[in-house]
Amino acid sequence: MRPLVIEHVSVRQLRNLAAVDLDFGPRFNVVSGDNGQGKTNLLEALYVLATSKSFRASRPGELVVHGGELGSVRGRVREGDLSREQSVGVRPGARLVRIDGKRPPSLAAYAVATPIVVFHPGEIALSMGGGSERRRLLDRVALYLEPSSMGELESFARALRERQKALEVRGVAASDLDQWEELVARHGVRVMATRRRAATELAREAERAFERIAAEGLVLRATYAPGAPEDESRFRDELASQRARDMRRGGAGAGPHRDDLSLTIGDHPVRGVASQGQHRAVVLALKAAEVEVVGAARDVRPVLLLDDVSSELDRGRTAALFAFLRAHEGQVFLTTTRPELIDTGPTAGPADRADFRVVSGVIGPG
Amino acid sequence: MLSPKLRRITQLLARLPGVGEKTAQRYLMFFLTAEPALAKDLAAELAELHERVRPCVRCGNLADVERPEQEAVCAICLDGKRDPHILCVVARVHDVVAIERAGSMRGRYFVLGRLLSPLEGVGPEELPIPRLVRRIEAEGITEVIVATPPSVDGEATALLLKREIGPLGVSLTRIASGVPHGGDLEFADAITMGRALAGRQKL
Ligand SMILES: Nc1ncnc2c1ncn2[C@@H]1O[C@H](COP(=O)(O)OP(=O)(O)OP(=O)(O)O)[C@@H](O)[C@H]1O
Ligand SMILES: [Mg+2]
Ligand SMILES: [Zn+2]
Repeated sequence: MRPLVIEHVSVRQLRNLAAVDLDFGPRFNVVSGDNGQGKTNLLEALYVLATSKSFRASRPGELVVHGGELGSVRGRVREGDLSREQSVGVRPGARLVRIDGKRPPSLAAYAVATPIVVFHPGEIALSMGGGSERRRLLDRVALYLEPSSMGELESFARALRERQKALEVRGVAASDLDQWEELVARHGVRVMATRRRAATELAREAERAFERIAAEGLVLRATYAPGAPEDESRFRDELASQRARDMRRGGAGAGPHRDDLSLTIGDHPVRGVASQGQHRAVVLALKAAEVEVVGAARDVRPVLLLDDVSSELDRGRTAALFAFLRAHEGQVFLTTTRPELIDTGPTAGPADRADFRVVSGVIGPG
Repeated sequence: MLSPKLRRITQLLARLPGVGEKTAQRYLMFFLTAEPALAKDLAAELAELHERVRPCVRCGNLADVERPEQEAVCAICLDGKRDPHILCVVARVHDVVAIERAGSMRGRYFVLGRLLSPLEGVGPEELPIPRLVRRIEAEGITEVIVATPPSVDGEATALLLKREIGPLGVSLTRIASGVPHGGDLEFADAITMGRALAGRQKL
């Protein structure tokens, strides 16, 4: 797989980063600083550069510096022998993306140009939590397999909310329910078809990765569990027959919004039976799978972002993580409050490891 | 610091779409330095806008009238060279303009004024479907082209029209919508109206 490197970045007015211009190394980039200085903000800016979206803000406006109108991140990305300029401008309610100064054909096309995978502490929910974190994982991967999946998911969600509102306002006899249900099913089955492909690819890689990470003899299984019939007309029938129930409940009982990637270890559901250490191993296996699948889809080694790595991890998991990172061979960004604990292996120079220090949104050499 | 009068004008200008406080002030300064006639003429036109421009009684497109109580009929409805058997159903007046710009529509229009959307308070009863049906029957229309946007609401509206108009036995087509695209408006118009019309399909 070809290397992918963010060589340079310029951040303006994003969160507490007023003006940050940095050159990065092709391997480990270790970003340290005390709490609340802007470490996560830098990773977020890199993620926005690569995908146009944040991994933690729900609205683009949140990203802009308090009291500001416009934030931006611009960067030079090298893929194999070729370099490109990417930029994302963020305003409340809008995003503007460019590759080499030109508007890409769609936001999805922009988002898959530079594969990037973020590891952050909240992701323990991938193993311990309900389905939403796992659906997000499926959707991130799905985007690489089928660029239209982003639009299909939005259309599905809109149609579902319209149907629910029609039920709420005019009841089970509302005359437009057929139309909304036709659209819910049409977009819903497309969402499920792509998620099933994503799940199949992820499962294969995650099961393999888990074998390396976890104790001998433990076997992880990941399977797609669709939240509705994957056949369009059966899905429609199901919706039509459950109107009264869905109205009472205030939400649809069937649909890809109920999808899951079901996880078992030795035939037992991971949720409920796994130990803390096993949960972490499952998360690492899923993230390793994400790296593998999105990398393979674009034939590049994805850029990895690791937020707050060693703070709360047990030493066993940290060792497994660093073994994974050293084997990855691509560009890695790590944030930590304790850089001395970050063992990136033998270092011959900045090509192996570059250090940065963040103080109140100002970033310099570490 | 702006005087109270200038501040009031700025605030009004800032209510225009896409115009913020700063741009509003730039417009204001422009009016102050340009020919006084410009501000007067614009003000006079705007003052009678709502009395002199009304929705066309036949299609909903905008039309000029001499007196407020006069029935408005738009230029397209009056245009004798239009094919009287073809009717294009659109959501907004804006869409009439876009399709006319493409120049390939030979028939006339019917503006719904809104799209089906319970979330925005629009149910089937809020759409002027009975009026549309009466017009199709009264004018002997044989081909109806549904040109609502490719959004979920536009699609649902098209499906509703299919249910209501389908039984009338006219040829019913829907403009091509291209591929679905992720949310942001910058990408909303992925294919041109001309191509969308040419690629229309049976609904
Ligand atoms: N929109 C914004 N405008 C300005 N400052 C912001 C904005 N959003 C967050 N901040 C500031 O950014 C800082 C937090 O930055 P960040 O989350 O990157 O910290 P961190 O270095 O990762 O800290 P920790 O080690 O605790 O995770 C806080 O001081 C916060 O007030
Ligand atoms: Mg942080
Ligand atoms: Zn008219």
